[in-house]
Amino acid sequence: MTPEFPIRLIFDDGECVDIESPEELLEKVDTLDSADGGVWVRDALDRTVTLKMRGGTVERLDVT
Amino acid sequence: MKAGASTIDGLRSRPLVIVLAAAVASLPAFLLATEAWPEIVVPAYFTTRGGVLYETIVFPHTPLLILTTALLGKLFGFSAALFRIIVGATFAAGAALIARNAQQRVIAVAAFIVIALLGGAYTLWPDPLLAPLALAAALLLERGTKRSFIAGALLLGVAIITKQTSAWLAIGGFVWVLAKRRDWKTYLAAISLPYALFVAIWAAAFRTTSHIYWTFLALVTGHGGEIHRIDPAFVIGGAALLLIIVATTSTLGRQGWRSPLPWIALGAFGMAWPRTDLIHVSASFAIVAVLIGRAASAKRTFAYAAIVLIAIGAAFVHWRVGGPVFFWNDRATTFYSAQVRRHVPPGGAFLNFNTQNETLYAITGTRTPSGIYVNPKFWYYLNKQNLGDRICADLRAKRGTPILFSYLDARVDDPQSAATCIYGLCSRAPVVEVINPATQWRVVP
Repeated sequence: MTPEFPIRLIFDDGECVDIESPEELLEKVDTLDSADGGVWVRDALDRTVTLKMRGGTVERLDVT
Repeated sequence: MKAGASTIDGLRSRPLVIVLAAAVASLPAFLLATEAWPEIVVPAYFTTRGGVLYETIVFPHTPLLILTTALLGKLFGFSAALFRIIVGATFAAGAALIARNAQQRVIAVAAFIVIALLGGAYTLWPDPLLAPLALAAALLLERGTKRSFIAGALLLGVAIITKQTSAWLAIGGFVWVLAKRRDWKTYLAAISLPYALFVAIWAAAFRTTSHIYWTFLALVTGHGGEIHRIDPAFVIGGAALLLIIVATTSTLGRQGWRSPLPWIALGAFGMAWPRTDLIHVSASFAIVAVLIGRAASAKRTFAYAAIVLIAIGAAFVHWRVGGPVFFWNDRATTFYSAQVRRHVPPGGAFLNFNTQNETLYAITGTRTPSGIYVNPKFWYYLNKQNLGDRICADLRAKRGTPILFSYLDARVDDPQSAATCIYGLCSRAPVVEVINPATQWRVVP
C-alpha cells in the first residue's frame, strides 16, 4: 500500500524530518533503511512506513 | 517495530537525562587530577603574545585546539580552572550526545566515563577532546539524509584541523562510504574542505607555507618514525577496546556493521601511530560507548556483562581525587615558577631547558630569548628546517640571558636531545645558582 505524503522521518534522538512529496524525498534522502532501526517513518495517516533508499533511489516505499 | 508511546515517553524523559549525563561526565575534570599539556598550553600562550603557529611557535599539530585554548586564555586568563572547564565541557558534550543517541543510556554514559578514566582521557589533549566530534560525525553519516551526510563529513574535516591524525577517522568513514556505495566524491570534498581552508587562510594571513610543512609534509617524510613509541599497556588496553568494538557491533548483527560507527571507531586505531597508547585512540571512546549502549539494548546478557565490566574497570581506575592540574599547579611546577619569578620579570626572557615544565613561560608571563618557541629538548623538531642551528646562533648573540637548566635523565630522556647545538651551549654555560643537584640557573656566556 502506498503511503500518503507528507511522510515524517522520526530519528531515535527525537529529530523529525518532514517530507512533503516524493520529489522532496529524492532531494533530501540519499540512503536509508527503516528496517535498520534508528529511524521510524510515519505517513500522513499516521501509519508506519517501510522506506528503503540506496544512493538516492527508492527501493521500497510502502505502508507496513 | 517500535511503539509510538515508548518513543514519546523516551523523548519526554530525555532532556533531564541528557543534562544529568553531561553533569556527571564533567565531574572528573573538576574533582580529579588532570593535565594541561604544555604542547597545547604553551603554543596557545605564545599565540596570545603575538606569536604565529608554525612560524615562531613550532608544534606540528593542526591548530584548532591550540587556537581555541588561546582564545579562551586571552578572554579569561590561563588558569587551572580554565583548563578544567575545557576538559569538563568536552566530556559534558560527549556524554550529552551519548545520552541523546544511545539506548541503555545509563550503561553507555557509565562506560564512556570509565573507559575515559582508564585511558587517561580526562586531560587537555586533542585526541580525547575529539571524541564528541567523532561521535557526532558518525551519527550524522548514519542518518541517511544528504544534508546530514555532508555535515558528518565536514565534522570529520573539522577533526582533521584539530589534529591531523584524525584523517584516520575519515579513512574509517571512507571504507563505510565505499561499502555503502554512498557519494564518495562529496565525502572526500567535505572532509578535505576545512584543512584546505586552513591552508589557504593561514597562507594569506601570514604569508607563509610553514604550516603546510609542519602539519603535513614533516609527518609524511619520516617524523613519525622519529617519535614512535609504544606503551606496553596498549597491548591489553588496545586489544580490549578492539574486542569491545567487534563484540558490540557483531551483537547488533548485520545492522551493526552497516552503521558507520564501528568503522570510524576502528579508524581511530590509526591515530595510535606514531604514539601508540590508549589516549591516542581516545577519539573513539564516545562511539564505543554508544555501541555498548546499543548492544546492551539488543541483548540482555550483554547488558549484564557491560555492567560487570564497567564495575571491574572502575576498580582499576587510578582516581587521583583532589589532585592538581599537572604541568600547571602541581608542586614541581609551582616551585620552579617561583624560581622563574625570582629571576625573570614578567615579559622578560629566559631559556627553559628541560625544567618542569614548559608551561613556566605561560605561568610567569615570560618569553623565550629568540622570540621563537620550540621545546629545546625536542631534537626531532630542531633537526628540521635548520631550526636548532638558527635558535642556537641567536642565543649565542644574547649574552647574559638566563637559562633554567636541568640535566637530562637517562632513564626517561632521549639521549639524542644531548646531541643538539642548544644542549651543547646550555650544558657548558656557566652556573650562577644551583637550585638542586638536577637544576641550575646558568647564563649564556
